Amino acid sequence: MKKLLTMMTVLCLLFALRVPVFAAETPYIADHADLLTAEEEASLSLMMAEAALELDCGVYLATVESYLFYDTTPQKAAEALYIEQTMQGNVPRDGILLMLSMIERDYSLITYGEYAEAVFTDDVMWDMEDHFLHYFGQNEWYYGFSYYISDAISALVDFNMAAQEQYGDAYNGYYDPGVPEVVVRVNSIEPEIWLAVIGGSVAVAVIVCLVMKAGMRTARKATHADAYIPRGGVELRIKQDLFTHTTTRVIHHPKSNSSGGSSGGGGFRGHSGKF
Amino acid sequence: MAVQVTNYTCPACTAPLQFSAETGKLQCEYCMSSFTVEEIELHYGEANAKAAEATPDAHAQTMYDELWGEDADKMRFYSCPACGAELICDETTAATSCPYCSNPTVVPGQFAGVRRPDYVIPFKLTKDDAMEALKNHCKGKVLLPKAFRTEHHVQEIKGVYVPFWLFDGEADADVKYTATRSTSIHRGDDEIITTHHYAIHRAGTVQFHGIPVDGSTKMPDEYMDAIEPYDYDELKPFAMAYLPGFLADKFDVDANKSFLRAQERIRNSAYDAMRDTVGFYETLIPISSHADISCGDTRYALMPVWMLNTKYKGKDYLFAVNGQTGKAVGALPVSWGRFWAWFAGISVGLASLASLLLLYM
Repeated sequence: MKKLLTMMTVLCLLFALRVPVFAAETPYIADHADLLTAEEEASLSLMMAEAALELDCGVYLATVESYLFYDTTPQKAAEALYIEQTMQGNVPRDGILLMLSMIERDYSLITYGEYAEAVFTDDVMWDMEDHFLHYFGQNEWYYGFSYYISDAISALVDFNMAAQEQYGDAYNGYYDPGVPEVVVRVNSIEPEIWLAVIGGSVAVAVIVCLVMKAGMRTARKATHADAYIPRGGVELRIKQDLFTHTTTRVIHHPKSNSSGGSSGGGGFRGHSGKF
Repeated sequence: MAVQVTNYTCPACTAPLQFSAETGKLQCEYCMSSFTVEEIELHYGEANAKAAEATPDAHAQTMYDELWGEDADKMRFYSCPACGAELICDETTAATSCPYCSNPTVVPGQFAGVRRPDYVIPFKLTKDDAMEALKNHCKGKVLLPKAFRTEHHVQEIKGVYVPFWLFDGEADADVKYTATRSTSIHRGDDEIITTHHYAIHRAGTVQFHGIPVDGSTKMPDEYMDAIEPYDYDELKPFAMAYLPGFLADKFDVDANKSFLRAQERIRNSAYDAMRDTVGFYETLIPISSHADISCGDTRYALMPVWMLNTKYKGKDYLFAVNGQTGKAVGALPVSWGRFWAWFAGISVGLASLASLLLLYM
């Protein structure tokens, strides 16, 4: 009885303290392909939880047997997993996710949200890929994931430090989902835009007021007599629609510069490839 | 002296009779008797015929010519058959009331012979209805000075039968247009727009029935146009018994002159009717248009209008209410204080909203 009570007390304490041995339940890692041991998952989860807390950006990882169980392309499957993981609550909305699909040996590295997109540019993501693909090529999953997470954290720290340097007190420290997005532009609106805002508001006010003023005078001379045409009062004797000629115009729309990434739907952006 | 005017008094008690918009009959306010239009027409038929034939008193006319000078030409002088008072009216006045004994007075001579209207639409709105229509007209006008709502004298509204010419007409219109339709496809970085061009021709006749044009110079044309349309289903053959209790004028703009105003309306509507027979094109530009307009039947009718002329801060403001449908039109004064207050409110509000969106976008 005593032993049983002791065991139960320990279990309760473990649940209460959320010991990393249960980190398999965290939203940061979804290891459906069972590439990691429990200890490895716990260790990685701790790093990811710290990034979420300190840097307000989610760093997520997912492994699957095949991306085809989720969607038709690796990137779309990664987006679906991202939504699934971030819906578990109490995690940052913006973030980065790495997905490995084991049967096809496809990976997808995606970001979600303007903050994550600003941090994880194409160059940053390519550098991260260079690091972890080296290990994945040798089936070194834990090391590959560790480098992925530490590279992601480094990129976030570098970004925040650069923003702090540039904006000083105007920068609010860390990205907060409650604060309006795009922190880098919080105080920067060009004078021309202010002028356009004021000019536009004044123009709308003038139009509205003139329309109200016109409504004060309702007596106007009639210019038409449509109401006095009886039913069947219009008889056509000539009704001709003749095609005469065709003209063709070509407008050239030059493509804007692409950084090489592909845009997903609904705020996602990412890269895919083979490992 | 021959009497040129007729007082409509109650056959039962000789009190003044008035046409009631509510009942469509002539009502005596004193003994509450009511009479149909036909009964009163029969009763006063002989009196009206005599009054129409009566000639003005030459001696009296000379006296007024000396008193009034040139203005006397535009005036008519009558004697009230009930109280003998002098009635001084405009040359076009056909119905009024004696300012002394308040008896409704009709001048049958104004409707004699070719001047007799073909139709009349009797008043359907009472004075109270018209006052209500005017009050509703002022509602929702945010630029209206508050003082105007309380200061203008709605009670002085008067019912007037306005002379109208109703024209039937036909327009033979011939219009040519150029039109285009386009399609667009994308090939790589290029957008290829293909435009098909057409020559459109429409010609035909458009009939018009009963275009109203007011035949009185006293009535502002824009007001009479704005209170249209009237429901011609309620046109009645003219009878003087509809007039007691209201003012009425005979026409002083003849049919030929009035038709010139109708012509412009006919032309514009004929072109619109041709345009409406063209199907959908992205652009449709008229390149030539012509319409031959001919006048058909012309009828002379009296239409009911409630009129109010009011003064506010030394300026005149006129209102008209269609005495059949209740449509009200008029010129309302603008409070410039309210105008600028609304302008400031809208511009500051919009600028603030746009700024918030820009800052937090």
